[in-house]
Amino acid sequence: MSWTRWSTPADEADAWLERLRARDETAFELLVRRHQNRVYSYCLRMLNSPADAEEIAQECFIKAWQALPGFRGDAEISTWLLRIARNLSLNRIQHHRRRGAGKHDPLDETAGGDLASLERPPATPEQQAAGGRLRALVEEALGVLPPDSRELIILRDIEGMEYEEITRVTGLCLGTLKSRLHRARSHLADALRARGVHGSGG
Amino acid sequence: MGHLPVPTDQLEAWIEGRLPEEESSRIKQRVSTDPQLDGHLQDVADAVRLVRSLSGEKAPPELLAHVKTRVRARRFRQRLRDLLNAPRLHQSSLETAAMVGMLLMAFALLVSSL
Repeated sequence: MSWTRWSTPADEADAWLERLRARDETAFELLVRRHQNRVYSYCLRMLNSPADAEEIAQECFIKAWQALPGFRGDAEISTWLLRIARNLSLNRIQHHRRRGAGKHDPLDETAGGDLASLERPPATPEQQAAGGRLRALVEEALGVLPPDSRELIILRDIEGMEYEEITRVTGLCLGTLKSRLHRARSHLADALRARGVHGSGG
Repeated sequence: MGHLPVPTDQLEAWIEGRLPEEESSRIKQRVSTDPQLDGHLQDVADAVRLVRSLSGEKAPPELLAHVKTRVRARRFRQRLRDLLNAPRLHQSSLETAAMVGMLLMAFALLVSSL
């Protein structure tokens, strides 16, 4: 029997984390490669703007770079990154709201009323099957939800995260998370109905 | 929603389509006693199914390059700051050495005068 100690994935992960803390650029590049899609996707759904999403995703990784030496590893690195992305996205939404007087803000909850009042022919199953239009309507419905509702749907239903992980990102307790998620989904169902989207056609 | 005929955890699992067929039918049957609730839950389940069909978006290909450029710029600025700070450190150590030298000389003078 050989007594050679093979490095396990856990050892490699620890070594990688150490290199990250030491701000090793190659390790950092791997971090960005691994997490850029999730971070960008979250930012895009939260901000409804590819330009804002890219800027905030970049900012998120820069903040992570600065904070890496102090990263204790209490949370998964993906959770930690999403927490940074969340704070930056919410700040950006606040910033838009402060500056948004007179400008249509798709993130504003009240904007839902305006969009819903647009006369839009109900999407028939055939049209919905076309895909693109339906997708646009679902994205639009998601976009008019308040940010705190929207983010729960993004994390749970689009990113497929477990409840416990979402509590670590948002800081909500499990019970609050579940009730808020149900309320968010109800709002989404209302927003979809207002756009003539029915599940039977999707 | 008022009183639910099914525990909320089970209801969420049903909405998310996580329950086996048999259990799902049982819940559907219980919920159907309240047409309003039934309609609401079906709408929510449909909404969840639709939103789940939105896959995660891919990051733009240039994101990594932009992050790397900004990180390098930060590193460069940091090194530059360190370099600019270095002469000050050097200067302060020279000052300290000079003071120590002067103290030693004063001490030597004091000793020789005794």
